[in-house]
Amino acid sequence: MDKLGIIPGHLVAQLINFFLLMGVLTLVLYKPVLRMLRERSERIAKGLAYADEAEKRVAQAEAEYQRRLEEARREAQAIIAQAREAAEKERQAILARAQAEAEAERARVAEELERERQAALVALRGQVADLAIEAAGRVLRRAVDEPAHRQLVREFLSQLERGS
Amino acid sequence: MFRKPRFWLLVFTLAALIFNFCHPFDIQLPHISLAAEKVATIGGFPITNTLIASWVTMAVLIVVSVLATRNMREVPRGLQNVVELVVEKLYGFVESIAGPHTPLIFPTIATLFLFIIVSNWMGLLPGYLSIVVEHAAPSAHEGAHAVEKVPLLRSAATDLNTTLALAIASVLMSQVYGVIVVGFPQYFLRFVNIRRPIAFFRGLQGRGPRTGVGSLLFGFIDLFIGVLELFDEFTKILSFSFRLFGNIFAGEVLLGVMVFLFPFVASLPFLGLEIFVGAVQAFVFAVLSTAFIAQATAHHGAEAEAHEEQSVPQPHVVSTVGQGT
Repeated sequence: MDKLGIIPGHLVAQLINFFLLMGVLTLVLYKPVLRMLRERSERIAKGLAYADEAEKRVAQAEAEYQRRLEEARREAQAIIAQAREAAEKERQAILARAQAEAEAERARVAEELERERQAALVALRGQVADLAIEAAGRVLRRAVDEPAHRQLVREFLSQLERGS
Repeated sequence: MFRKPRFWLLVFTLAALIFNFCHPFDIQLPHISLAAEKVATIGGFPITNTLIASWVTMAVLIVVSVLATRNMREVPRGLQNVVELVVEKLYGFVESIAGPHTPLIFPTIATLFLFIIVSNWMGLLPGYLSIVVEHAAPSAHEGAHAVEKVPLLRSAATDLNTTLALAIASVLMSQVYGVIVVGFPQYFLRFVNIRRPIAFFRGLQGRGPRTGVGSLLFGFIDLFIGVLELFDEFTKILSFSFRLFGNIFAGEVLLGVMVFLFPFVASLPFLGLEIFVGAVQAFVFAVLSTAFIAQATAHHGAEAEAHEEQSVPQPHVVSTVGQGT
């Protein structure tokens, strides 16, 4: 034992040294470092989970956005169609009204014309009768002024009219 | 050619090699002593150079740990990075062998590994063995106080006291962890296995299933195996301590002889070899300790399997090797 240098006191001292070192290192090295490693890995896991969540949310938002966009587009289409329909209706209405108005105007003008024609015709007839009587008077050299004669001319004229 | 640093390095190396044979220094073959030299005596307790070296190693380990973990940051920097890397790798390694018991046994394994590797590497530093103090040794001759020169520091593992202490600590802790994990009386049934005889006599008294006389015979074999197991624990202490001591001591002697023969440059490869050996020895010590502790803590599963004969075989804890990383 002496040649090998084994001294019981030293053996015990080294044993104590070892357990002392083990205790101290557990306190100042293993515990803090392992805790830090665990915390960090937890944090990374949390971060990754959060990133996943965020990605999912972004995808959701994107889908929602697309959905809304589609909805808005459809709505816009509907509004446009509606507006177009309304405009068409309006156009039809305006057109109809204008046509009716034009028709009415035309009728009115035609009526006026007719009336004037009638008036002119009546006046013309009178004048023609007068002229005929005048002419007949000239021809007969006497006045053809009696009502009987007038009546005669009128009948003639109406016969003419009927004949024409 | 003359501007290339490689050329000058070659010239310098050659010069140093030649210088080996014609230098003016008086280099002596170091005094080889298995026992560590006494440097001082405090209150009747002799202080050896290996004891001082262990304290230095401990101090270095503790100071570095405190510096590294004093202001731990979420984003590690510098020393904290290194320390975290070492601890994490060690932990993963222990986990790959010991599995679920890792948190329990990690401090023992890590301390063994760190102490041995740091002590071995520090033992290669200049200053170890070369800084000499004079120590008035109470010599064998009465009255004459011979003043002898002894190195102040000597690698801790070159003292059997240190390696024996480490081996005892390792084996002791494996018993402690065995008791913690397996339970108090059950763990020691490993050494004094009397389950079969008990079952046999219970069967005879009609308090259990009857077992044949053959089971009594197996009981004797169990007892013998228990004795072997007990013997094995002491063998572990011896193999642990002498392996470490032998390797590091031999390395020291080898370096001493090489420096005696070729003081300059030529001994460098051997220094590299010793760096490697120092790391390997620390690793071997840690691996074997882990394996023995895993064995001690896994004993329960194997025993319970043998005890409840028809039960479903439980997965052996050692089978978790290689699951981690």
